Amino acid sequence: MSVKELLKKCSIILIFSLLTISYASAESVLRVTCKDSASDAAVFINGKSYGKCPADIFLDAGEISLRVVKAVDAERERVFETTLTLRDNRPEKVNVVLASPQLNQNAAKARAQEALQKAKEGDIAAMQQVSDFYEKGLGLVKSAENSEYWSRQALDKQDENAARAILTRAEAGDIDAMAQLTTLYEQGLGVERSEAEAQFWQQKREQAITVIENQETSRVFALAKEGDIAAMRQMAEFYREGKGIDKSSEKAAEWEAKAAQGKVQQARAEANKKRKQEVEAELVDYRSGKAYMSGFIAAGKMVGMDAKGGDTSAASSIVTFSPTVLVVTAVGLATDLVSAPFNATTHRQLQNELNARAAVWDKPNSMVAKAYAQQ
Amino acid sequence: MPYIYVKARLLIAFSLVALLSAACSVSPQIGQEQPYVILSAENGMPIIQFDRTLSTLSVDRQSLVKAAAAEDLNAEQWLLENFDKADLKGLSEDTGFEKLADIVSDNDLDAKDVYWSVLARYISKADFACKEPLYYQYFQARYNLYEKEVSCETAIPFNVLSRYTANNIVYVDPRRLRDIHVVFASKDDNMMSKFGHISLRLVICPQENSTDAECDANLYQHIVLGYMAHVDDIKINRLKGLFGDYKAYLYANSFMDVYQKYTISEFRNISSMPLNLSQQEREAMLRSLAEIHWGFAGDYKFTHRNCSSLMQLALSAMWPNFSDELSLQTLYWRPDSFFQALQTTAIATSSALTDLELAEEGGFYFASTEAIYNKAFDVVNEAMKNHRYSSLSDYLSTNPILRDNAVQENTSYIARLQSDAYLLEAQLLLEELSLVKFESIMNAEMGYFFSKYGVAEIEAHMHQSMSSETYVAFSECVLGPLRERIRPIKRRDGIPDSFELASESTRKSCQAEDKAKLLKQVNLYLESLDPEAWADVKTAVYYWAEIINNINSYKELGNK
Repeated sequence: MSVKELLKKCSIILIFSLLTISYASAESVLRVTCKDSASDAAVFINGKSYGKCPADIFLDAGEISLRVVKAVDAERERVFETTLTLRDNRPEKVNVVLASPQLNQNAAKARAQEALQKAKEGDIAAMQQVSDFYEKGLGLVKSAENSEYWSRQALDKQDENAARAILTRAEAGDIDAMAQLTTLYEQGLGVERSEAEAQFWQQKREQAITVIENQETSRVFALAKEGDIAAMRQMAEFYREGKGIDKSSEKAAEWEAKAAQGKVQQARAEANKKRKQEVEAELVDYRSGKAYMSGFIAAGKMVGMDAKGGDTSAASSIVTFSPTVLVVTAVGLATDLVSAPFNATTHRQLQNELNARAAVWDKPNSMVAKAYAQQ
Repeated sequence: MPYIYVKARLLIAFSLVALLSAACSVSPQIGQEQPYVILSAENGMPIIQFDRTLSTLSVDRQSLVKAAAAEDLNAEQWLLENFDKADLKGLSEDTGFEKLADIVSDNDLDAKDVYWSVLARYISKADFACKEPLYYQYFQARYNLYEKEVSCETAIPFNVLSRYTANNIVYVDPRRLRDIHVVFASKDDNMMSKFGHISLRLVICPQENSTDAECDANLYQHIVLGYMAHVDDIKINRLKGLFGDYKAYLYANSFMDVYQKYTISEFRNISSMPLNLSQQEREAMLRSLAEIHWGFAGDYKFTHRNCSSLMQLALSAMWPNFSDELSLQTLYWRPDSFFQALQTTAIATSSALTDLELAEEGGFYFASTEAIYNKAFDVVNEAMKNHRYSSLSDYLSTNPILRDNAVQENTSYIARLQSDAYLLEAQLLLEELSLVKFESIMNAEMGYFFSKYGVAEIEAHMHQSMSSETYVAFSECVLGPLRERIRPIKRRDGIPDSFELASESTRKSCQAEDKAKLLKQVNLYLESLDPEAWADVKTAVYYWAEIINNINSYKELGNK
């Protein structure tokens, strides 16, 4: 055994002897132990320093407040705090585990003052910070009341700012903002409660909606006029509800009918288009992929020549200009190709209209136009 | 043989002739100065007697009817069988008759035969004056057989050409005829019509007591009568048309068909100048025109026997004021020259054409519609915004399906068509012009198909392939109109009466729906004959139908 070990044994024996003596004198002993990270931390009991951890401290029985502090840097420290009751001649042991680093008193105080200053200037984050400092007593005297005060201040300020933003949007014509502003004034949220202001913004919103609806109605009306069936239905809705337009059930019914008619027409147009595509495909097939019409164009058929190169119009002035007797045949052959009911009578009617249309359109005083009106 | 006819020189020979008559007919010697007589075999009295010196003709009608009945003939037939058609002075065709027959009857017939036929009718027919007024006038002037005027049927028939039926009989009441105009269609670039075309227009009133304005505006009932050649082929042969191998007839057309042909289809102008006729002259001319319409057939020669010269000859025969007009003594073979010459005379109201704008309002001038269709094209092309078509002919040459696709895809244009009636009409004008152009193409395609094989071959093919029911439909509705179109037109002895026409009108209508169904089958059988050639017909019909669909579809837009 070395001298060093010998000395250590002797000191243990001495401490036990002392403890035994203390116990005998009706005092209590508190052993404060620290883990490695907490060693050398300063020990305070009821605010009085008792050296550094680890430490055995003789104290009178009663309630004590133990605080063990270890500085991390100039502003932060790690703290262990607890309260316990010491009893006569009965040793107590506290194993210290330091909390995470936090501001030390001085730093907390400085920060609190800084936050307080900012909070007073209206900084919402600072208000929340001050509220927090008060709640925890960090740099400020712990005060639930003050904490609550600053918390409310922060919320009020938030409402005020939100109300200001909403006001800006409302003033810019945002009808949703107008609705929000109406509520804020009604409930006094972020603004001073005001029935008059609430009413003002309500009316303003209604006016804005009317303007928008009118614009919407105009837009939808334009689409409906162009044949958009959905827009026609919307117009019917507008008339039914008087949206952007005078309420009229008759007009609503008219637009409904137009929409229905449009749908039928659309279906017919689609069927027609499909049929035309089929016909076209069939014709292309007939002509071995060669567009028949282009053949007509190339042969000049559309401007007076007959289909096989003969000049029908040339001879027609001196020979029988027999209008198409074969139209009867054509009508028969084409009956399933003409979508409307078609026969010689309708063809005759078509010819009558055809003969007069140019005169009626451009020369209403001409005899042909008069004849058409008279017949 | 109960009766004989006797050609006698001497009335005193009657008894001798009567004695011989039981055995044979006797041809006594005929002297130029002695009367021409046909005697009754029954009593030896003259049935027909012509005094050559006095140029008078007398008829014993009772005996004539008896003699005819005894041989189971009618009077006309009996006369034709008993006439001695020798060239007898005063009782045979003269140059006056030849001229008249040249404009009234079928020119293929010998003038001598025509003379005796017409004479037989003049003598035997009670309604001859009504049915053959020009010949009646001639024979009355020559033989003055009748003293009393005959009252005629009021309705005068004309076979007005129609797209839909071969026989389209229209009856014209002379009391509703307010005017007769000479109609001149301006020239166009084609060689055969470079001097225009001339015809007559019957201005028919809606009612007998209609106002002049109502009559003028009754264009849909006006009839145009003009000389044209009959095409006896399915397809027109230009050379035959040019050199006179087609027959000429006085055709009747609806004025509006004529209007469409000239002003819309060919972009030509029509001038219509009233003739200065009294009511009596008008009615007489109407009957004479009907007589020519039903009876005349002659060669059509481009150079000297055409619409102009034939019309001039006809007017000259029908209307003394015309034949007396010195400036019209020259025979004009150019229609434009004839029309100009007429304008300088007092027998026509040329002042009606002095101011063309007024003339158009008054129904005396019908301008080409070319400018209007071009204007409609500009309106449509502008409204479609993207200027799809470079010209009117570009529009007309574009596939009608593609044209409609361009319209249907352009929703703003559709909306404009719905709200802008002026634009809609312009759009319809273009489609309708396209229809007019395409109908002639379709017709030509059909004509080509039928002429390629000939009616007989097609008929045989169809007869073999089809069920009897389908073949009947084909025969009635397809071949029927075709045959009637190309066969020679039946010439008649004067104006037919309504009974005669009604009894001939037996062809069934081909417009019934069941016929239409059968015609679809016809389509398939014709296709089987020559799919390649029929494809052209079918395609033409397809596009024709598409144009009609376009028209119907745009009309519907206007109804919304």
